[in-house]
Amino acid sequence: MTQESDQTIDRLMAMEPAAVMAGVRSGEISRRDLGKLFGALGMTTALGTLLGEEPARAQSNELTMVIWEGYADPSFAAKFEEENDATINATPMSSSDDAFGRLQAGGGSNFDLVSASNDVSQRLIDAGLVQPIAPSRLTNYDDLYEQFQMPEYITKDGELYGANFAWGPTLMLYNTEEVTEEPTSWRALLDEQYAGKISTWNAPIQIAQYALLLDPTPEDPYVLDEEQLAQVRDLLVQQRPLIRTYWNLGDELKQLYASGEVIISDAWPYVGLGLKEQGVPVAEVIPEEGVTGWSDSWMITSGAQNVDLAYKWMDYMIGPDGQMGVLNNNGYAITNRTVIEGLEPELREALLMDNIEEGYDSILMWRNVPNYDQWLAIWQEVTAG
Amino acid sequence: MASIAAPTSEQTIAAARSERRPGGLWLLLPGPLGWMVFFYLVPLVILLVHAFWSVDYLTIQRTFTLENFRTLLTNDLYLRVLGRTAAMAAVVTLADLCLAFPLAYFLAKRVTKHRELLLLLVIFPLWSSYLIRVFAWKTILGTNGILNSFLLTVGVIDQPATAFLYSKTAMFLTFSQVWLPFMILPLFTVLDRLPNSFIEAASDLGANPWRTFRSVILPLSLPGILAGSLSVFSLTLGDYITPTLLGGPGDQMIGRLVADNFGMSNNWPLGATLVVPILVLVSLFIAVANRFGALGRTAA
Repeated sequence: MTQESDQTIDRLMAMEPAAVMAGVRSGEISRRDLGKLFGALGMTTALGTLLGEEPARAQSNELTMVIWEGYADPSFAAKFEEENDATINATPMSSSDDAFGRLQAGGGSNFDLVSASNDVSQRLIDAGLVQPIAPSRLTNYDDLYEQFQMPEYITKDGELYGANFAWGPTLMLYNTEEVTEEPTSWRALLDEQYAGKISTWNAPIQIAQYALLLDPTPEDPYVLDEEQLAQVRDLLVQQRPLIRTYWNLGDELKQLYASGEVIISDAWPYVGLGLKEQGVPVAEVIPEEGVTGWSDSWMITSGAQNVDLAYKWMDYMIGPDGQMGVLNNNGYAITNRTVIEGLEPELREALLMDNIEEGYDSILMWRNVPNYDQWLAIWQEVTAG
Repeated sequence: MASIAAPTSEQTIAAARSERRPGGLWLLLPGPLGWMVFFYLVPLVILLVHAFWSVDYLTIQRTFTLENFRTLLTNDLYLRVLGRTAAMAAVVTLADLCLAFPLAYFLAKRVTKHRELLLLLVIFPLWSSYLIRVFAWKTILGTNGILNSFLLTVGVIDQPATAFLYSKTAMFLTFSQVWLPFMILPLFTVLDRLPNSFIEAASDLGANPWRTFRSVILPLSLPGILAGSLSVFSLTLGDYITPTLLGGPGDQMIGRLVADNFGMSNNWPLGATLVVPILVLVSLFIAVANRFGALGRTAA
């Protein structure tokens, strides 16, 4: 960070009305509320610094985590907090790379847990930022579908590094009042008729989604050679002037739809679900080129202060309460066989869990990208202009 | 000393002063000095050292290389963003100067009553968080924001304009507003100290108001102008929050690239390298300002 940015943040802290900060510290103003405000602004980095969440902490009943939005929603996390006399302090990540950067900055000791996706999990293991886990300590582990027990993206040298608990696609979302004809292709995000009303997620992994538009279609959108990458870059550069703004957090995207700034974008089910609850007229579609998607696992950081509590959380999240919580709150597919088998058939079908193996395979799942530094460079070049 | 002829009065005062000066004053120094060294100087050096390292997959290679500087100078992305950043900082500084000067002059020379209150109003916006102020602009400039609603009601436009938010205009407006107090205060200080008799003398000698401004007021307020400009320029130069929240695609500034390299791209060496041109620009500005006495007693 620049010296000036540091100064800006210092100044921020100095200017912050003492009452507000005192309120946050004493708990009168919850971090969650403040987090939501800043989350909506896409300013999680600044928030973390403001609240001093980054420094290493001593053992306590406070479980700290870097999560995808909604993964510690009070609707299901409150029960865990009560049962274990614990408090959860969760920081939303805006991308896998954002989470990696946060953990790397603290050497894996500034948070207890991370809800890592399958594009970054291997990187976290390789960098020594997460620790191996003992499945025997998870009472709900045996209920997981076999394919989620030891998936290769959270395994290294025969050791397991996480508990796989949720998965889903990145869909195309649109405002049904403004976009009257149902879009069928990701090309809609490059369509001039929506100029200035389009958004796309600010994450380098999205290169895979746009690679689906190349002709010929790459065999594997996560393995792209230099020429294919250059073609994707051209697509993204062509798209840039049509973009209203790149979205960072799901809550930010919700706001962009609710305030009428954006009418079409890529989005996680979490966003569509929230907007429908708010009464914003939106619909989701799986474009003909297919969808990319993720599979998320709870991982314990290498420097975690509350390992026992972290195990309890992991177990809770692959058990009935956590699984149903994520399903209801985020609209994501889950991994626990017993819980899935108890669901209504329509719900199972809607979330691709009718036949787990088939449903999972219908999504082009994220994975460790071999030449990821090139992906990062291209993404930065495109978004920074 | 006693053998030399009678000391001048100045020497006497100096000697007396040094005798009376409590030696304990030195004890106050280690605190702030240590703070500056350990929390400012050392991190800055560590940062700059990173610029000469490289990153290989996940680990930082601690061997000397100039590769990052080659990237900086040959990749037109960085030069373009740097140019855009410097231009934005310059325009914002100029705008704030034009806005702040009349106000500071008015406060310093015309207002006699409630001066403290008015000064308090100038710094009042600083009492709220910077983020809140930036966010406020978002609600003003949005497609369904206050500005568009107003223009629609008045009938100036019949469709909400999308050009306000997520643009360089939005960044310019926000920067100009949030940094304005940093320009007003030093200008007020120099203008307040400028004796009214100088201005009266100029007019007595036949100078018209413009000539008085050009030959008397402006040169004498130069230290304040430079001090204010230095603040506004460097604050804008390194900022990444406003571009992130209010800038459009293709409007990002260098601070955002630095933040991205330390965060998303996990390339600390390149991030550190991008800091160098910012430091050089600000240092140059400081050197110029110092040359004209902006950092001396006149401005402070």
